Amino acid sequence: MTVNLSAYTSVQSAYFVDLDIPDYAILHFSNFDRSYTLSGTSYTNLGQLLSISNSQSELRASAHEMTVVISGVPAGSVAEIMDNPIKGSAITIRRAFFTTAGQFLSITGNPATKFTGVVNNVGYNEEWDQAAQLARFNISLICTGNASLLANRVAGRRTNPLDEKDWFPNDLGMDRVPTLKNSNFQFGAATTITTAGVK
Amino acid sequence: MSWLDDIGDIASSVGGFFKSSPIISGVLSTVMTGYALNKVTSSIAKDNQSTKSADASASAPVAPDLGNRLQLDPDSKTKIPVIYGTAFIGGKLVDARMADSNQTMWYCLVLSEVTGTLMSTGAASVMTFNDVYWNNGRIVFDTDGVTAIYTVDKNGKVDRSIAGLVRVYCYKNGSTTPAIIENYSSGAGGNAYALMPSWTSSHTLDSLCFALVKITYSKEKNVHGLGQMQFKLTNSMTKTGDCLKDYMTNTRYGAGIDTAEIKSL
Repeated sequence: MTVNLSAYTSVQSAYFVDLDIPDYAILHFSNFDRSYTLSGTSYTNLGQLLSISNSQSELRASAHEMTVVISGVPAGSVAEIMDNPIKGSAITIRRAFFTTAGQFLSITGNPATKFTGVVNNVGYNEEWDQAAQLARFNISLICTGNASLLANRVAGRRTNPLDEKDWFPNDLGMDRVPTLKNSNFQFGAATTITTAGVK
Repeated sequence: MSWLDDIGDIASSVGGFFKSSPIISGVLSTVMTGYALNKVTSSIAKDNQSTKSADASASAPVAPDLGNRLQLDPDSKTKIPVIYGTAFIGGKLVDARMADSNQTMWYCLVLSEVTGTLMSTGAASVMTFNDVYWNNGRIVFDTDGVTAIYTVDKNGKVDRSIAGLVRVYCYKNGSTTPAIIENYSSGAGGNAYALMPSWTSSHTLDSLCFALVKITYSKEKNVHGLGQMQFKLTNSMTKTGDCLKDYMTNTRYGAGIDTAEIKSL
Protein backbone atom coordinates (compact mmCIF):
# COMPACT_ATOMS: atom_id res chain seq x y z
CA MET A 1 0.00 0.00 0.00
CA THR A 2 1.35 3.38 -0.94
CA VAL A 3 1.42 6.35 1.39
CA ASN A 4 0.27 9.52 -0.30
CA LEU A 5 2.45 12.35 1.01
CA SER A 6 1.79 14.77 -1.81
CA ALA A 7 -0.17 17.12 0.45
CA TYR A 8 2.84 17.73 2.68
CA THR A 9 5.80 19.91 1.89
CA SER A 10 7.97 18.37 4.56
CA VAL A 11 7.75 15.30 6.71
CA GLN A 12 9.98 13.22 8.92
CA SER A 13 9.96 9.49 9.38
CA ALA A 14 11.04 7.02 11.99
CA TYR A 15 11.48 3.27 12.12
CA PHE A 16 9.62 1.18 14.64
CA VAL A 17 10.97 -2.27 15.31
CA ASP A 18 9.24 -5.24 16.92
CA LEU A 19 11.69 -8.00 17.86
CA ASP A 20 10.06 -11.14 19.23
CA ILE A 21 12.71 -13.10 21.13
CA PRO A 22 11.36 -16.55 22.02
CA ASP A 23 11.05 -17.25 25.75
CA TYR A 24 12.27 -13.78 26.57
CA ALA A 25 10.19 -10.80 25.48
CA ILE A 26 8.96 -8.79 22.56
CA LEU A 27 11.17 -5.75 22.30
CA HIS A 28 9.78 -2.56 20.85
CA PHE A 29 12.15 0.21 19.94
CA SER A 30 12.46 3.01 17.42
CA ASN A 31 14.85 5.63 16.19
CA PHE A 32 12.31 8.34 16.92
CA ASP A 33 13.48 11.21 19.08
CA ARG A 34 11.20 10.31 21.94
CA SER A 35 9.25 7.41 23.31
CA TYR A 36 6.14 6.91 21.28
CA THR A 37 3.04 4.78 21.40
CA LEU A 38 2.16 3.48 17.98
CA SER A 39 -0.94 1.36 17.42
CA GLY A 40 -1.21 0.86 21.14
CA THR A 41 2.36 -0.30 21.62
CA SER A 42 4.95 1.77 23.39
CA TYR A 43 8.31 2.02 21.65
CA THR A 44 11.57 2.86 23.38
CA ASN A 45 13.39 5.67 21.64
CA LEU A 46 16.95 4.75 20.75
CA GLY A 47 17.37 7.75 18.52
CA GLN A 48 20.60 7.65 16.60
CA LEU A 49 21.75 4.58 18.48
CA LEU A 50 19.52 2.61 16.14
CA SER A 51 20.45 2.36 12.51
CA ILE A 52 18.66 0.39 9.85
CA SER A 53 20.07 -0.33 6.43
CA ASN A 54 18.27 0.54 3.26
CA SER A 55 15.58 -1.77 2.02
CA GLN A 56 14.56 -2.73 -1.48
CA SER A 57 11.17 -2.01 -2.87
CA GLU A 58 10.14 -4.36 -5.64
CA LEU A 59 6.84 -5.38 -7.08
CA ARG A 60 7.56 -9.06 -6.73
CA ALA A 61 8.59 -10.73 -3.52
CA SER A 62 12.36 -10.91 -3.57
CA ALA A 63 14.83 -12.29 -1.11
CA HIS A 64 16.90 -9.61 0.51
CA GLU A 65 18.51 -8.85 3.85
CA MET A 66 18.42 -5.90 6.20
CA THR A 67 20.80 -5.01 8.96
CA VAL A 68 19.65 -3.44 12.20
CA VAL A 69 22.42 -2.06 14.37
CA ILE A 70 21.85 -1.06 17.98
CA SER A 71 24.71 0.96 19.38
CA GLY A 72 25.69 2.00 22.86
CA VAL A 73 24.68 -1.17 24.60
CA PRO A 74 26.15 -1.12 28.12
CA ALA A 75 28.63 -3.88 28.85
CA GLY A 76 26.46 -5.04 31.72
CA SER A 77 23.65 -5.90 29.32
CA VAL A 78 25.74 -8.01 26.96
CA ALA A 79 25.46 -11.19 29.00
CA GLU A 80 21.68 -10.90 29.10
CA ILE A 81 21.59 -10.34 25.38
CA MET A 82 23.83 -13.30 24.63
CA ASP A 83 21.89 -15.58 26.93
CA ASN A 84 18.75 -15.19 24.87
CA PRO A 85 18.18 -16.65 21.43
CA ILE A 86 18.02 -13.53 19.33
CA LYS A 87 19.00 -15.58 16.32
CA GLY A 88 15.81 -16.85 14.77
CA SER A 89 13.65 -14.18 16.38
CA ALA A 90 10.88 -12.70 14.29
CA ILE A 91 11.37 -9.07 13.41
CA THR A 92 9.03 -6.52 11.92
CA ILE A 93 10.13 -3.05 10.92
CA ARG A 94 7.59 -0.37 10.21
CA ARG A 95 8.13 3.13 8.98
CA ALA A 96 5.91 5.90 10.34
CA PHE A 97 5.61 9.43 8.99
CA PHE A 98 5.34 12.52 11.11
CA THR A 99 5.17 16.22 10.52
CA THR A 100 8.33 18.15 11.17
CA ALA A 101 6.78 19.07 14.49
CA GLY A 102 6.51 15.38 15.36
CA GLN A 103 2.80 15.02 14.76
CA PHE A 104 1.77 11.60 13.45
CA LEU A 105 0.24 11.81 9.98
CA SER A 106 -3.20 10.24 10.03
CA ILE A 107 -3.22 9.12 6.43
CA THR A 108 -3.97 5.82 4.82
CA GLY A 109 -1.05 3.42 4.92
CA ASN A 110 0.78 5.11 7.75
CA PRO A 111 2.67 3.38 9.33
CA ALA A 112 3.88 1.18 6.47
CA THR A 113 5.46 -2.21 6.99
CA LYS A 114 8.98 -2.04 5.65
CA PHE A 115 10.31 -5.47 6.45
CA THR A 116 9.11 -8.77 7.88
CA GLY A 117 11.47 -11.63 8.53
CA VAL A 118 13.67 -13.30 11.09
CA VAL A 119 17.06 -12.54 12.58
CA ASN A 120 19.41 -14.73 10.61
CA ASN A 121 22.63 -13.79 12.35
CA VAL A 122 23.83 -11.66 15.22
CA GLY A 123 27.13 -9.81 15.50
CA TYR A 124 28.68 -8.19 18.52
CA ASN A 125 31.25 -5.44 18.32
CA GLU A 126 33.00 -3.89 21.29
CA GLU A 127 34.02 -0.24 21.32
CA TRP A 128 36.26 1.16 24.01
CA ASP A 129 35.34 4.64 25.20
CA GLN A 130 38.71 6.00 26.35
CA ALA A 131 37.30 9.14 27.86
CA ALA A 132 34.66 7.40 29.92
CA GLN A 133 36.85 4.36 30.47
CA LEU A 134 33.92 2.17 29.45
CA ALA A 135 33.34 -0.56 26.93
CA ARG A 136 30.23 -0.24 24.85
CA PHE A 137 28.86 -2.72 22.40
CA ASN A 138 27.13 -2.62 19.06
CA ILE A 139 24.74 -5.39 18.20
CA SER A 140 24.16 -6.08 14.54
CA LEU A 141 21.05 -8.03 13.65
CA ILE A 142 21.26 -9.42 10.14
CA CYS A 143 17.70 -10.10 9.13
CA THR A 144 16.39 -12.29 6.35
CA GLY A 145 13.08 -11.68 4.67
CA ASN A 146 10.29 -14.22 4.57
CA ALA A 147 10.87 -14.73 0.85
CA SER A 148 14.38 -16.01 1.60
CA LEU A 149 13.05 -18.26 4.32
CA LEU A 150 10.55 -19.81 1.96
CA ALA A 151 13.19 -20.24 -0.72
CA ASN A 152 15.41 -22.10 1.70
CA ARG A 153 12.68 -24.07 3.35
CA VAL A 154 12.95 -27.81 2.96
CA ALA A 155 9.50 -29.30 2.71
CA GLY A 156 8.06 -32.56 1.55
CA ARG A 157 7.92 -36.09 2.84
CA ARG A 158 10.77 -38.27 1.67
CA THR A 159 10.47 -42.00 1.20
CA ASN A 160 12.22 -43.11 4.35
CA PRO A 161 11.00 -44.27 7.76
CA LEU A 162 12.27 -41.20 9.61
CA ASP A 163 10.28 -38.76 7.51
CA GLU A 164 7.24 -41.00 7.57
CA LYS A 165 7.31 -41.34 11.34
CA ASP A 166 7.67 -37.58 11.75
CA TRP A 167 4.17 -37.28 10.39
CA PHE A 168 2.69 -40.68 11.10
CA PRO A 169 4.57 -42.31 13.99
CA ASN A 170 2.72 -45.63 13.85
CA ASP A 171 3.06 -46.28 10.13
CA LEU A 172 5.44 -49.09 9.17
CA GLY A 173 4.90 -48.63 5.43
CA MET A 174 8.35 -47.23 4.70
CA ASP A 175 10.35 -49.15 7.30
CA ARG A 176 11.93 -51.42 4.71
CA VAL A 177 13.25 -48.73 2.39
CA PRO A 178 16.80 -48.81 3.88
CA THR A 179 16.76 -52.62 3.93
CA LEU A 180 15.64 -52.90 0.34
CA LYS A 181 18.41 -50.70 -0.97
CA ASN A 182 20.79 -52.96 -2.89
CA SER A 183 19.12 -56.12 -1.66
CA ASN A 184 18.67 -58.99 -4.10
CA PHE A 185 15.68 -61.10 -5.01
CA GLN A 186 16.16 -64.30 -7.01
CA PHE A 187 12.78 -63.87 -8.63
CA GLY A 188 11.49 -67.05 -10.22
CA ALA A 189 14.24 -69.28 -8.87
CA ALA A 190 13.32 -72.82 -8.02
CA THR A 191 12.92 -73.26 -4.30
CA THR A 192 15.91 -75.61 -4.23
CA ILE A 193 18.16 -72.75 -5.26
CA THR A 194 19.72 -70.85 -2.45
CA THR A 195 18.70 -67.24 -2.73
CA ALA A 196 20.59 -64.29 -1.43
CA GLY A 197 19.33 -61.12 0.12
CA VAL A 198 15.91 -60.38 1.46
CA LYS A 199 12.95 -62.45 0.40
CA MET B 1 25.39 -115.13 -75.95
CA SER B 2 25.93 -111.76 -74.60
CA TRP B 3 28.77 -110.71 -72.36
CA LEU B 4 26.29 -110.83 -69.48
CA ASP B 5 25.89 -114.50 -70.00
CA ASP B 6 29.66 -114.89 -69.83
CA ILE B 7 29.70 -113.23 -66.43
CA GLY B 8 26.90 -115.50 -65.30
CA ASP B 9 28.84 -118.48 -66.43
CA ILE B 10 31.90 -117.41 -64.48
CA ALA B 11 29.83 -116.97 -61.39
CA SER B 12 28.30 -120.39 -61.81
CA SER B 13 31.64 -121.98 -62.29
CA VAL B 14 33.06 -120.26 -59.19
CA GLY B 15 29.97 -121.26 -57.21
CA GLY B 16 30.33 -124.72 -58.49
CA PHE B 17 33.96 -124.72 -57.41
CA PHE B 18 33.03 -123.60 -53.93
CA LYS B 19 30.26 -126.15 -53.79
CA SER B 20 32.55 -128.83 -55.00
CA SER B 21 35.11 -128.14 -52.28
CA PRO B 22 33.74 -128.84 -48.74
CA ILE B 23 36.46 -126.73 -47.11
CA ILE B 24 35.86 -123.75 -49.30
CA SER B 25 32.12 -124.23 -48.97
CA GLY B 26 32.40 -124.20 -45.15
CA VAL B 27 34.56 -121.11 -45.19
CA LEU B 28 32.16 -119.38 -47.55
CA SER B 29 29.24 -120.36 -45.37
CA THR B 30 30.97 -118.96 -42.27
CA VAL B 31 31.85 -115.75 -44.05
CA MET B 32 28.35 -115.25 -45.35
CA THR B 33 26.83 -116.04 -41.97
CA GLY B 34 29.27 -113.63 -40.31
CA TYR B 35 28.44 -110.97 -42.83
CA ALA B 36 24.75 -111.45 -42.28
CA LEU B 37 25.21 -111.40 -38.50
CA ASN B 38 27.32 -108.30 -38.78
CA LYS B 39 24.66 -106.54 -40.78
CA VAL B 40 21.96 -107.56 -38.31
CA THR B 41 24.08 -106.59 -35.28
CA SER B 42 24.98 -103.19 -36.66
CA SER B 43 21.36 -102.61 -37.53
CA ILE B 44 20.32 -103.50 -33.98
CA ALA B 45 23.11 -101.32 -32.62
CA LYS B 46 21.93 -98.41 -34.68
CA ASP B 47 18.41 -98.91 -33.46
CA ASN B 48 19.61 -99.08 -29.88
CA GLN B 49 21.66 -95.93 -30.34
CA SER B 50 18.73 -93.97 -31.67
CA THR B 51 16.53 -95.29 -28.87
CA LYS B 52 19.15 -94.37 -26.30
CA SER B 53 19.47 -90.82 -27.61
CA ALA B 54 15.74 -90.43 -27.53
CA ASP B 55 15.63 -91.71 -23.97
CA ALA B 56 18.52 -89.45 -23.01
CA SER B 57 16.71 -86.36 -24.17
CA ALA B 58 13.64 -87.41 -22.24
CA SER B 59 15.16 -88.41 -18.94
CA ALA B 60 18.31 -86.26 -18.57
CA PRO B 61 18.30 -84.03 -15.40
CA VAL B 62 16.96 -80.57 -16.28
CA ALA B 63 18.88 -77.58 -14.89
CA PRO B 64 16.72 -75.74 -12.36
CA ASP B 65 15.49 -72.27 -13.28
CA LEU B 66 17.77 -69.82 -11.54
CA GLY B 67 15.24 -67.08 -11.96
CA ASN B 68 16.18 -63.48 -12.43
CA ARG B 69 18.22 -61.60 -9.86
CA LEU B 70 16.52 -58.34 -9.01
CA GLN B 71 18.50 -55.66 -7.27
CA LEU B 72 16.24 -52.96 -5.95
CA ASP B 73 17.35 -49.43 -5.30
CA PRO B 74 14.73 -47.37 -3.50
CA ASP B 75 15.87 -43.84 -2.84
CA SER B 76 15.40 -42.71 0.74
CA LYS B 77 16.00 -39.08 -0.27
CA THR B 78 13.24 -38.98 -2.84
CA LYS B 79 10.47 -36.56 -2.01
CA ILE B 80 6.95 -37.67 -2.63
CA PRO B 81 5.45 -35.43 -5.31
CA VAL B 82 2.24 -33.47 -5.08
CA ILE B 83 -0.13 -33.65 -8.02
CA TYR B 84 -2.70 -31.02 -8.90
CA GLY B 85 -4.83 -31.57 -11.97
CA THR B 86 -3.67 -34.41 -14.21
CA ALA B 87 -0.18 -35.91 -14.40
CA PHE B 88 1.72 -39.01 -15.43
CA ILE B 89 3.93 -40.34 -12.70
CA GLY B 90 6.16 -43.35 -12.25
CA GLY B 91 6.01 -43.94 -8.51
CA LYS B 92 8.60 -44.31 -5.78
CA LEU B 93 9.41 -47.79 -4.54
CA VAL B 94 8.96 -48.16 -0.78
CA ASP B 95 8.54 -51.89 -0.34
CA ALA B 96 8.95 -55.16 -2.22
CA ARG B 97 8.20 -58.73 -1.19
CA MET B 98 8.72 -62.09 -2.85
CA ALA B 99 6.16 -64.82 -2.25
CA ASP B 100 4.70 -68.08 -3.57
CA SER B 101 8.02 -69.96 -3.64
CA ASN B 102 9.79 -67.10 -5.42
CA GLN B 103 7.20 -67.05 -8.20
CA THR B 104 5.52 -63.72 -7.38
CA MET B 105 6.91 -60.30 -6.57
CA TRP B 106 4.93 -57.57 -4.88
CA TYR B 107 5.94 -53.94 -5.23
CA CYS B 108 4.57 -50.92 -3.41
CA LEU B 109 4.90 -47.71 -5.44
CA VAL B 110 4.07 -44.39 -3.79
CA LEU B 111 2.64 -41.95 -6.31
CA SER B 112 1.53 -38.74 -4.67
CA GLU B 113 0.70 -36.91 -1.49
CA VAL B 114 -2.99 -36.58 -0.78
CA THR B 115 -3.88 -32.90 -0.96
CA GLY B 116 -6.21 -30.96 1.32
CA THR B 117 -9.67 -29.56 0.93
CA LEU B 118 -10.84 -27.34 -1.89
CA MET B 119 -11.15 -23.74 -0.79
CA SER B 120 -13.80 -23.18 -3.44
CA THR B 121 -16.20 -25.90 -2.26
CA GLY B 122 -14.89 -27.09 1.08
CA ALA B 123 -14.85 -30.66 -0.21
CA ALA B 124 -11.88 -32.96 0.21
CA SER B 125 -9.75 -33.39 -2.89
CA VAL B 126 -10.01 -36.80 -4.54
CA MET B 127 -7.43 -38.61 -6.64
CA THR B 128 -8.60 -40.66 -9.63
CA PHE B 129 -6.57 -43.36 -11.38
CA ASN B 130 -7.14 -42.80 -15.10
CA ASP B 131 -4.76 -45.32 -16.63
CA VAL B 132 -1.80 -47.54 -15.86
CA TYR B 133 1.08 -48.09 -18.29
CA TRP B 134 3.58 -50.94 -18.54
CA ASN B 135 6.65 -50.36 -20.72
CA ASN B 136 4.92 -47.46 -22.49
CA GLY B 137 1.86 -49.54 -23.26
CA ARG B 138 -1.49 -48.80 -21.66
CA ILE B 139 -2.66 -51.77 -19.65
CA VAL B 140 -6.08 -53.11 -20.45
CA PHE B 141 -7.42 -54.95 -17.45
CA ASP B 142 -9.72 -57.89 -17.19
CA THR B 143 -13.22 -57.41 -15.82
CA ASP B 144 -11.84 -57.74 -12.29
CA GLY B 145 -10.11 -54.39 -12.84
CA VAL B 146 -6.75 -55.53 -11.51
CA THR B 147 -5.50 -58.32 -13.78
CA ALA B 148 -3.76 -57.17 -16.95
CA ILE B 149 -4.79 -58.91 -20.15
CA TYR B 150 -2.75 -56.92 -22.63
CA THR B 151 -1.04 -53.61 -23.31
CA VAL B 152 -1.60 -51.21 -26.20
CA ASP B 153 1.18 -48.88 -27.27
CA LYS B 154 0.78 -45.52 -28.96
CA ASN B 155 0.71 -47.18 -32.38
CA GLY B 156 -2.10 -49.50 -31.37
CA LYS B 157 0.15 -52.53 -31.15
CA VAL B 158 -1.19 -55.09 -28.72
CA ASP B 159 1.16 -57.06 -26.48
CA ARG B 160 -0.34 -59.96 -24.56
CA SER B 161 2.84 -61.11 -22.87
CA ILE B 162 1.74 -59.87 -19.44
CA ALA B 163 -1.70 -61.44 -19.63
CA GLY B 164 -2.57 -62.79 -16.22
CA LEU B 165 0.94 -62.12 -14.93
CA VAL B 166 0.58 -58.52 -13.76
CA ARG B 167 -1.98 -57.26 -11.27
CA VAL B 168 -2.30 -53.65 -10.13
CA TYR B 169 -4.11 -52.58 -6.97
CA CYS B 170 -4.63 -48.84 -6.53
CA TYR B 171 -5.11 -46.83 -3.33
CA LYS B 172 -6.10 -43.18 -3.29
CA ASN B 173 -5.60 -42.29 0.39
CA GLY B 174 -3.79 -44.81 2.54
CA SER B 175 -4.03 -48.57 2.86
CA THR B 176 -7.73 -48.70 3.60
CA THR B 177 -9.02 -46.73 0.61
CA PRO B 178 -8.77 -48.95 -2.46
CA ALA B 179 -9.54 -47.23 -5.73
CA ILE B 180 -11.10 -48.49 -8.93
CA ILE B 181 -9.35 -47.48 -12.11
CA GLU B 182 -11.44 -45.18 -14.26
CA ASN B 183 -13.86 -46.87 -16.67
CA TYR B 184 -13.79 -50.16 -14.74
CA SER B 185 -16.65 -51.25 -12.59
CA SER B 186 -14.57 -53.26 -10.17
CA GLY B 187 -11.01 -53.50 -9.04
CA ALA B 188 -10.98 -52.47 -5.41
CA GLY B 189 -8.89 -55.24 -3.93
CA GLY B 190 -9.53 -54.59 -0.27
CA ASN B 191 -7.12 -53.19 2.28
CA ALA B 192 -3.55 -53.06 1.07
CA TYR B 193 -2.19 -54.76 4.16
CA ALA B 194 -4.47 -57.72 3.45
CA LEU B 195 -2.83 -58.19 0.04
CA MET B 196 0.84 -57.31 0.45
CA PRO B 197 2.70 -60.26 2.02
CA SER B 198 3.86 -59.66 5.60
CA TRP B 199 2.01 -56.37 5.94
CA THR B 200 -0.11 -55.67 8.97
CA SER B 201 -2.72 -53.06 9.80
CA SER B 202 0.20 -50.85 10.90
CA HIS B 203 1.26 -50.47 7.26
CA THR B 204 -1.04 -47.55 6.70
CA LEU B 205 0.82 -45.24 4.30
CA ASP B 206 -1.33 -42.39 5.54
CA SER B 207 -2.26 -39.54 3.22
CA LEU B 208 -0.57 -41.23 0.31
CA CYS B 209 -1.80 -42.26 -3.10
CA PHE B 210 -0.04 -45.50 -4.02
CA ALA B 211 -0.28 -48.77 -5.92
CA LEU B 212 0.59 -52.39 -5.24
CA VAL B 213 1.86 -54.29 -8.26
CA LYS B 214 1.88 -58.09 -8.20
CA ILE B 215 3.99 -59.83 -10.83
CA THR B 216 4.02 -63.54 -11.54
CA TYR B 217 7.29 -64.86 -12.94
CA SER B 218 7.26 -66.22 -16.46
CA LYS B 219 10.44 -67.13 -18.26
CA GLU B 220 8.54 -67.92 -21.44
CA LYS B 221 6.72 -64.56 -21.51
CA ASN B 222 9.85 -62.69 -20.46
CA VAL B 223 8.16 -61.33 -17.38
CA HIS B 224 10.83 -61.39 -14.71
CA GLY B 225 10.59 -58.06 -12.92
CA LEU B 226 8.85 -54.76 -12.67
CA GLY B 227 8.47 -53.08 -16.03
CA GLN B 228 8.53 -49.35 -16.53
CA MET B 229 5.35 -48.29 -14.76
CA GLN B 230 3.47 -45.05 -15.35
CA PHE B 231 0.24 -43.97 -13.73
CA LYS B 232 -2.06 -41.31 -15.09
CA LEU B 233 -3.67 -39.58 -12.12
CA THR B 234 -6.14 -36.75 -11.82
CA ASN B 235 -6.61 -34.70 -8.69
CA SER B 236 -10.00 -33.03 -8.31
CA MET B 237 -8.08 -29.98 -7.08
CA THR B 238 -7.52 -28.09 -10.32
CA LYS B 239 -8.41 -24.45 -9.73
CA THR B 240 -5.51 -22.08 -9.35
CA GLY B 241 -6.71 -20.59 -6.08
CA ASP B 242 -7.32 -24.00 -4.54
CA CYS B 243 -3.88 -25.26 -5.55
CA LEU B 244 -2.05 -22.12 -4.42
CA LYS B 245 -3.79 -22.05 -1.09
CA ASP B 246 -3.15 -25.75 -0.53
CA TYR B 247 0.53 -25.55 -1.40
CA MET B 248 1.12 -22.33 0.52
CA THR B 249 -0.46 -23.52 3.72
CA ASN B 250 0.32 -27.23 3.88
CA THR B 251 2.99 -27.95 6.47
CA ARG B 252 3.84 -31.46 5.23
CA TYR B 253 4.62 -30.83 1.59
CA GLY B 254 4.03 -27.11 1.09
CA ALA B 255 5.34 -23.80 2.33
CA GLY B 256 3.58 -24.04 5.68
CA ILE B 257 2.52 -20.41 5.73
CA ASP B 258 0.03 -19.60 8.45
CA THR B 259 -3.36 -18.78 6.95
CA ALA B 260 -3.42 -15.66 9.12
CA GLU B 261 -0.52 -14.34 7.09
CA ILE B 262 -2.33 -14.78 3.81
CA LYS B 263 -4.75 -12.06 2.93
CA SER B 264 -8.41 -13.02 2.38
CA LEU B 265 -7.97 -16.54 3.77
